Amino acid sequence: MMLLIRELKIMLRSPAGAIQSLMFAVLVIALFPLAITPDPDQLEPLGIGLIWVVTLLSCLLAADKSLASDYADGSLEQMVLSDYPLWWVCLVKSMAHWVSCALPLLLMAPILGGMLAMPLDRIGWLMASLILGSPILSLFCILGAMLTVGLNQSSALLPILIAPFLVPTLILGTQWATTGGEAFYGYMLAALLCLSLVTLPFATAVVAKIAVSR
Amino acid sequence: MWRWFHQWGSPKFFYHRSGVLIPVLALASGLILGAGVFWGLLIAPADYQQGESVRIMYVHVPAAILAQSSYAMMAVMALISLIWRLKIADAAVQTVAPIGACITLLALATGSLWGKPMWGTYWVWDARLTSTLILFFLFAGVLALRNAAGQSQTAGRAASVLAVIGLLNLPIIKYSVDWWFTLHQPASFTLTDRPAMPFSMWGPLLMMVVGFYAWFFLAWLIRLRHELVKRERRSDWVQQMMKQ
Repeated sequence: MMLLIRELKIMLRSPAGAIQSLMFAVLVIALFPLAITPDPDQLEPLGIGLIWVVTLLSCLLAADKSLASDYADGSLEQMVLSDYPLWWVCLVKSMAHWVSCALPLLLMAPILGGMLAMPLDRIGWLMASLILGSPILSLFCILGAMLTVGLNQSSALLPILIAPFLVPTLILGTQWATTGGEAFYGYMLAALLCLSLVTLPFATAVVAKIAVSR
Repeated sequence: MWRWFHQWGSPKFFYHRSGVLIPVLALASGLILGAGVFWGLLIAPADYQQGESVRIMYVHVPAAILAQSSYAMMAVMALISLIWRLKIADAAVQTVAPIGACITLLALATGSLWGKPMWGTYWVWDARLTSTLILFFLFAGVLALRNAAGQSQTAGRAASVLAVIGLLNLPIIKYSVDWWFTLHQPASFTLTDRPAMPFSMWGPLLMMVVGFYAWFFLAWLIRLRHELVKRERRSDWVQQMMKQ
């Protein structure tokens, strides 16, 4: 629990990261009408997909930073050595990533939807699908960050590694929202969330041990 | 049984014993592939619906089958290297990844060449095409992580974890893509049913599949032996071998 509070405190004291990823999302969404068409009738069917892709991208973009400073100042190593169960550390990291990156986007979804001329009921389903889907994104992003932390590499490496794993989430989330809540997709998305919650922190913990031994 | 397993896990033992397999595999893949190409491209009948384009299948189907199973083999090797820390398994993961990526690319390329006359387009966002594309990205991810992390032991372990997670995720990706959209015909071969096409067509196809596997193991073995010598260059047996 202390870990969670620590992460949230760090985030509150330097909210720049969260604000930047939010700004990134808003900006990208603003680019689409400019690039495609300002016509609401043509924008509206794209809305759910675009907002999902932008969420995915800004989660991937923010993942790099979420472990970098902890790795640089040695606190990641201390966490691995500490009494805390390592899977719990990884889960907390994922939660922090979700709070700083996905949650602001989720709250902004009505505005983003409005920018793409989406009606309110579609925005509602979009938010529901993001609530179920974005934690999976965060869990995978932390796994990817753990795999690449400490490597002197371009920031494109993490998205290359992790984006293929996000495909099922993207498909189920967007299908659920565009079909207006067809139960099958919703159940499958929820099942995927449960599966990711109980497996990915443990996988990340395995990778964390490798990461600190570099 | 365990002794046998340990022996083959030793790079020196493996290197010396596996040498005899190279001519065998080379001969087998050369003969079978040659005969399969001859039978498939020249003798086998053209399809009544697809015409001569069906001959692309004699390359496409083996490549697609091999693409999937080479990922599975890579992931199993990765699991072995994670659990038992066998040096040779780690080298096997590293050497099979580029081959698998190329085979996957071959399957995609031949598939899109076949798609143009059949479906009227090089690419459709169909379930099987998409999941093969994702398979290619999974290979690319393992390769990229390897390259990024350099030659160290830990680099290998991180890439191995990624490969194993990829294997566990493949069914999920496959099913989710299936629910999304599907146009591709179902698989031509299953283990349980008799094939629906005549022998004159599945004969050469089966031959090409076997030939592809033989070639694949040949390429893998050559790369693996090369990699082992490179990694063990400071050990006595390599030094002795190089002196001779």
